[in-house]
Amino acid sequence: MRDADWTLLYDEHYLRLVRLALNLVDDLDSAEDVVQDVFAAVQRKPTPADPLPYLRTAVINRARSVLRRRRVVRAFGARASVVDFADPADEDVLRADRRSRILAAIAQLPTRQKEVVVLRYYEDLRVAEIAAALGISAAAVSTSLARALDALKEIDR
Amino acid sequence: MKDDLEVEIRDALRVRAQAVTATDLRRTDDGRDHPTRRNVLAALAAAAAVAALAVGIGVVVWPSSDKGPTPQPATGGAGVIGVKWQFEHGIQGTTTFTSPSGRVSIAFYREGKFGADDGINYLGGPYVATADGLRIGPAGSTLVGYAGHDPNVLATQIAFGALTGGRAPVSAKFNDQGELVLSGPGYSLWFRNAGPSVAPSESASFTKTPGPTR
Repeated sequence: MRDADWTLLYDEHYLRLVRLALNLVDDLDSAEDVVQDVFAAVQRKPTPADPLPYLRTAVINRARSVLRRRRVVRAFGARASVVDFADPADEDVLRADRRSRILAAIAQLPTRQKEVVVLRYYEDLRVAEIAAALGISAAAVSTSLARALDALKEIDR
Repeated sequence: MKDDLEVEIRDALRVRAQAVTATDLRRTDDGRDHPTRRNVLAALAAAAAVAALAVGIGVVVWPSSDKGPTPQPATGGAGVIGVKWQFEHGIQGTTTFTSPSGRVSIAFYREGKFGADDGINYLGGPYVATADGLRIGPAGSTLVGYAGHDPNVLATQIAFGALTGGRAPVSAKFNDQGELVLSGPGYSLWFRNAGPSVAPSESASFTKTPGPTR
């Protein structure tokens, strides 16, 4: 494929990939940086036959770098993350509170578990698809998912 | 139980993601860049100030809920005054943010004065208990600058500014976990009880003193 094809893919998938990245890095500014970095990195490469899984994996990898950097920053005093959702003025504030707790708990998961949770429950991928996206075994996906859910159950305790 | 949790996880991730639309992005189909998030935060602050002025005597009403217990209002400041409240997380506009440090807090002293720490500056001034909450401020503040980019720090400063501006009543309620939820035009802030508040000495007044940039 030519460079122009990446432009088409950018137009087609940018928002979708930003939303995925948002669920991985927890703030919109970083999420956009992640996706723009991905497209900047791939624009000289030939496009793969099935570009969406390729781009998804690239976003996951880039988001992982952001989280790694952020951990270093947190070690020097900053903490936590920003999460966005719908305007609470239009919602039940208790439900917004609950969502906020869930998203905060997901943000605290180890990176691998967080990736598995986002791919399973946001992207609706099957275990085998998650394994392919992350480059790990299906058994590792299942284990990470089970551990993540166990950790998230602690929200209610 | 597990299924409920999975539904809630899916809901939380989707609601957050779908709150982002093309107009929120820096780059749109017209090829123009949109403001960065830092500029959006500044715009949010301006919008909050305008909204507070426009609303004037507006009171935020807690939405009804068909799930879970009803939050209990802190009538006349009951349960709020005499306590130091440590900030946990908040919502301002469409942004949810968490406390950037453990020092972010607000304390209501029995003498009708409050003191707060937004993570960068100390704020203080009068408050008045109202039927369903408080009117806090207008606050004086130290004027330490913040040159960093941490969105939690920026959002917390903006929210505390709105909270203590004294322009509109702040509703004060307790949720089922005993957290204090202070809500005003465009924001809600969650605090946990950090123990009794100790009134500062007379010398610890808050003045508008320029300070170093952090």
